[in-house]
Amino acid sequence: MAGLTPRRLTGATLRMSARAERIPFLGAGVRLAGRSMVPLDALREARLGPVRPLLVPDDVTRRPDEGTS
Amino acid sequence: MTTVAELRDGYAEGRTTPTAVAEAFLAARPTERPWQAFRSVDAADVRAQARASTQRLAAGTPAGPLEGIPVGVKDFVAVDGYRSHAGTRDLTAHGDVDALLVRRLREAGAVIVGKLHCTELGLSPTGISGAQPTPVNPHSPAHLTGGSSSGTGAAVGAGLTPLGVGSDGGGSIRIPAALCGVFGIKPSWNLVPTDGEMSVGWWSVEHIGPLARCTEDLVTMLSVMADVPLATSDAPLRFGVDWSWWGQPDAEVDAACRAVVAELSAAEIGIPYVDVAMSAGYATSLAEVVAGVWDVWQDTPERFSTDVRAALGMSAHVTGADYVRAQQVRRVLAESFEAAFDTVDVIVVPTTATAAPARPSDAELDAGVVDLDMLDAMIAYTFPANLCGLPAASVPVGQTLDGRPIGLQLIGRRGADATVLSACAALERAGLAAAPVSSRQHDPFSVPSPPTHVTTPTTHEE
Repeated sequence: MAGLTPRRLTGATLRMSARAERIPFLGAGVRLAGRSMVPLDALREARLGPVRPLLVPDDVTRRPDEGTS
Repeated sequence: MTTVAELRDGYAEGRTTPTAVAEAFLAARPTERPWQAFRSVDAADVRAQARASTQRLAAGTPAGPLEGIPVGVKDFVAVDGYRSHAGTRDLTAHGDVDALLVRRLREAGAVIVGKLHCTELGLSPTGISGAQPTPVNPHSPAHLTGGSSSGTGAAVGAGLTPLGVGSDGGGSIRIPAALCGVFGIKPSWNLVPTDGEMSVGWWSVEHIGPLARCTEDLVTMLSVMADVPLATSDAPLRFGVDWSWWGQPDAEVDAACRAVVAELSAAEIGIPYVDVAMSAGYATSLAEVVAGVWDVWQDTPERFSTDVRAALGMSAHVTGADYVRAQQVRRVLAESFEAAFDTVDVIVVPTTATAAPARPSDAELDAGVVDLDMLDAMIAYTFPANLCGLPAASVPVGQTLDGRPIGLQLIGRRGADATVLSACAALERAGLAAAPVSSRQHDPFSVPSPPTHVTTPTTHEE
């Protein structure tokens, strides 16, 4: 599978990817062939607990309650 | 090498005037090769501003600390007389208004000399643009400038202007500063107003800040942009480094940055969750950009270049849960940094994992290029400061054997912008950081040839 992993796209390959990514089924195929341009694996594998999201980089010292973990 | 202080001295000693400096700038053809840094320059407007500045100086009534200093502005930020395009082919905004920060620059006497290229929608951190000319690295035309503030890095690195406005949603000030061998700071969240910035997403991560050729100029420009007086201090600072986060950058980057860290006696620290920051940063910024341009992308996708269409398509796979989890990461990461800053004042890490990557051929640039290894190397260290709103600067700390600049990143506690600037100044004083001089450096003191053959030194706004 590693040989199929696209790390550099240009020209026709890139145009094909641009088209495929507008079609969810084909887009998923591109993701299977290699890591997506949006590397979400680390985010999805992280275990954070029920942390309250911080929606902008506001002052974390003024945090509200966070629920339970 | 030209700094604000050198121009000020030149004006004070009568060696040059803002008008002469403006003419030298226009004669350099800043929209064209070998720079390709500016998207548009209105020569008549530049001359009018420079003339007014020259008159103020002659009358002994300078407007402020930037009197007569040429400043370029990234194509995201509103400048009266110019449209903004956010690096796209034909999306437009603004035209007859100054962003608040630009108004402040003018009130301080700056001569706004034009709009600088940037990558399309600010997406590419490499400097590659499929929609507009890709600016040229002043230290090596065979390599990229970094992005997204690619034109700002190229212009300040080449000395076309001593100061430039950039914006940074994931490293877009610090990366071109590093690759073009200049100083740049992404300030704390909300320090510089983003009013008048073209809205194409980036809402929760975007910061506007300066690029310059020395710390003193960063301090001056950021003080004006923020309307807050900032001052550096000589007080000793505690530096920290997380070697796990540092990882394994390119060997030459690693060696240059480690040599500086060794001089700083940096304490070893740990920053939990920093390894998830790049993923969270991608999820946050790209989901916001997709939302920001959704209507145009759905209705007329051909208005974007092929590589940006591919990026938008893949970004649309970020789920709602991904986005929210990224904001959870933002909180735990902010808490990690808060804890780290209990024991250190400034955290150091390379700005990028490699020096400037090779510039693709013009044919490849026209066709569009997405290189995932290149992308990862550019943003390996930059997203955390955006997610957490921390001030983060890049300072030039060396060059590769083939002359490409290397940047070291200095990160401070939120609101501690002056501390980060003090750290930049400390490195400069110690001889550990300095902007390298390009062999193709523009000389603002040069006297342009008579205008007989300088018929169209600039391009005008379309």
